[in-house]
Amino acid sequence: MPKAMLVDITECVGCGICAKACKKEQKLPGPVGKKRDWANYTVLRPEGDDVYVRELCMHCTDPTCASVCPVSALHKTPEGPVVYDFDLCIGCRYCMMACPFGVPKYEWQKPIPRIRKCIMCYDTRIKKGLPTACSQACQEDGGGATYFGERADLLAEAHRRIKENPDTYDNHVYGEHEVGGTNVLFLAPKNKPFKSLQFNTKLPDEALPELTWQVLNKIPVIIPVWATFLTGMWWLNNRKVEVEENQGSKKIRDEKLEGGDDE
Amino acid sequence: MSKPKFKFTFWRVVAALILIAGAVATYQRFVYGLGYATHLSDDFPWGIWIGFDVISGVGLAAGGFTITAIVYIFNLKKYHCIVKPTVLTAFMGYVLVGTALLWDLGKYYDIWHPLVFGNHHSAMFELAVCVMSYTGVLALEFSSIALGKFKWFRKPVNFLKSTYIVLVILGVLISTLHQSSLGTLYVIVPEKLHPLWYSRLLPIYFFFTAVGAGLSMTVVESYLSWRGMGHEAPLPVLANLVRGMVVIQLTYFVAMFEGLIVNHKLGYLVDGSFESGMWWLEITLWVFIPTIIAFRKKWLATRFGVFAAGFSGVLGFLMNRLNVSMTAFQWSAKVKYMPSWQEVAVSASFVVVSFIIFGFAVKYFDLFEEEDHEGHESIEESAVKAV
Repeated sequence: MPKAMLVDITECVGCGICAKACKKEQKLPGPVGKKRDWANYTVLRPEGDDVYVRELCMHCTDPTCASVCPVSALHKTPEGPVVYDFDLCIGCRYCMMACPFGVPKYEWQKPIPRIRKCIMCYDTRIKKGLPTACSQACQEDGGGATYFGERADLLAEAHRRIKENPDTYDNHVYGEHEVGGTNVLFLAPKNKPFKSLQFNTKLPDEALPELTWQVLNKIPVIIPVWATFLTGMWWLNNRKVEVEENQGSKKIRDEKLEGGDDE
Repeated sequence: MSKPKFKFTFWRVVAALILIAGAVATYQRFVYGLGYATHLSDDFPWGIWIGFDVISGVGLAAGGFTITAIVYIFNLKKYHCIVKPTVLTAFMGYVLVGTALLWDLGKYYDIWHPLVFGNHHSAMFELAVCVMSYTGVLALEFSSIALGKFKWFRKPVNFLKSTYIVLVILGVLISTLHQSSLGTLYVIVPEKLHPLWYSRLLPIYFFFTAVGAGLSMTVVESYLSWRGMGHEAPLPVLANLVRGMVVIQLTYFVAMFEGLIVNHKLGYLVDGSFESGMWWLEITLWVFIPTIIAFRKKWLATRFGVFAAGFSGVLGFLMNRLNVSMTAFQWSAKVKYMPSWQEVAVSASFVVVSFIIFGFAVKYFDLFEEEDHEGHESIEESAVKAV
């Protein structure tokens, strides 16, 4: 059963304890930043009127980053988190190019850099059945806006909230269908819908890896056809020359024979 | 005599300066990291080391499979005289692309990982495997051409020659896959690429245009070796390559333009934006200028006309690949990207190195001379026939 997080933006008070807890858990250096980077897996983005939006990896059900990685350094775990293996990574940064949420960040300042992104506390917490550091801190010491649980349960809870308080919430659970669904879900206030909060609301419901797969799965079909055609063309074109040459020699033979008859 | 000699020395000085700058930039990149040496960032992770060195570089080396296919599969023997230089350029191109990639990869020493830990859902994996295996094929093709004059290699070279058609067909197959997979790289970012360049058919566009680029690059190489060394492929042969390139470019243009119409993107062509300007520049260099030259018989009968068409094709091709990888991506990125001097110096150094290698090869490998014992028509004869 995949784990997930639900962020109810209406309940966020902007205390930023999630970002602090994340830094401590993941041993990230420096103070909490304003933008996500190699040392900040999650940040709070103030949107005015006391509305704060958490930025973090969405942990897609079918992650674009994992599908584009040529060496599977990024992969989706059965528990839900999308995790990273530095030993496999070659540093091509295709994940950064492809991620529809701009999540993977790079250690640009290092000679041998790593990709850095939220891994949903996979090694230290999820594996042991514990909730993520940010959600625990938020529930215990913060505004209680980030929830941790089974994806199906959180999705049902989100829809229940929208249904019971249609005047409070934008009628949309962000992450339910976006790019095939994500394991981080958002609820937005009615007066500040997702579009106004810089969420990309134009993303398709289809998982993006499907786009590439629709191309790549043609390869086994194309190779035999193309190989047959090329070999056939070679055979045809060379035969043409051979025939021409043979006709030439036949002509000579015929001429010789004729000459022989004359004699 | 003194004037061209001075010119030659001038270019040598320029080349040396570029190489020195490239060496400094290389030191900075490997000691202080990508962040220090480049203007890349989290918002713009691929710069000219990918867009120019790799994505354009692989396309410019497409002459290798295009010309071998024309000569050996389609049996158009009058083009045999350009097989050697194009196979050499292709081989050199792929080796340089693979080398240049080391500058860009964060963990360059793990460049072999895709071969062992491959993820077959990744277009990058397909690209890596194909480029590596095609470099191997080109190495075999090239050694069968270049090593024939050494006694020790005669046996393996003769074996390679007897199986040459297998190498050629393999080369075309692998090239089809990886030229198109350069386009596949961008199929997964429909939101990020400017609509004028994004298409789900990018892989097909990339394959077709690589063939065009291979032909125009062959023309340009021929011109450069004539200017530099006095060697030359017969003009009518090159003029025919330009005609072929124009046919391919026009076919591509019609297909691509249909895509713009069907997807209601024509508005982007006249919105006066930076992107629309770049699109028109690309298409002018790539399609319009070569087409106009090709359909003027007088112009295509002159050396300058042929090479102008070829140059225009190469520039247009570069514009296309840089537009897809830079202009179109810049459109959605939050930051403006301009390459740092280090990035430019390294890319320019690779261009200089390729010129030097090509120059040496023309000098020492008798690139433009036909081998007599193969029984093909001599250059003069084929030239006469082509006219």
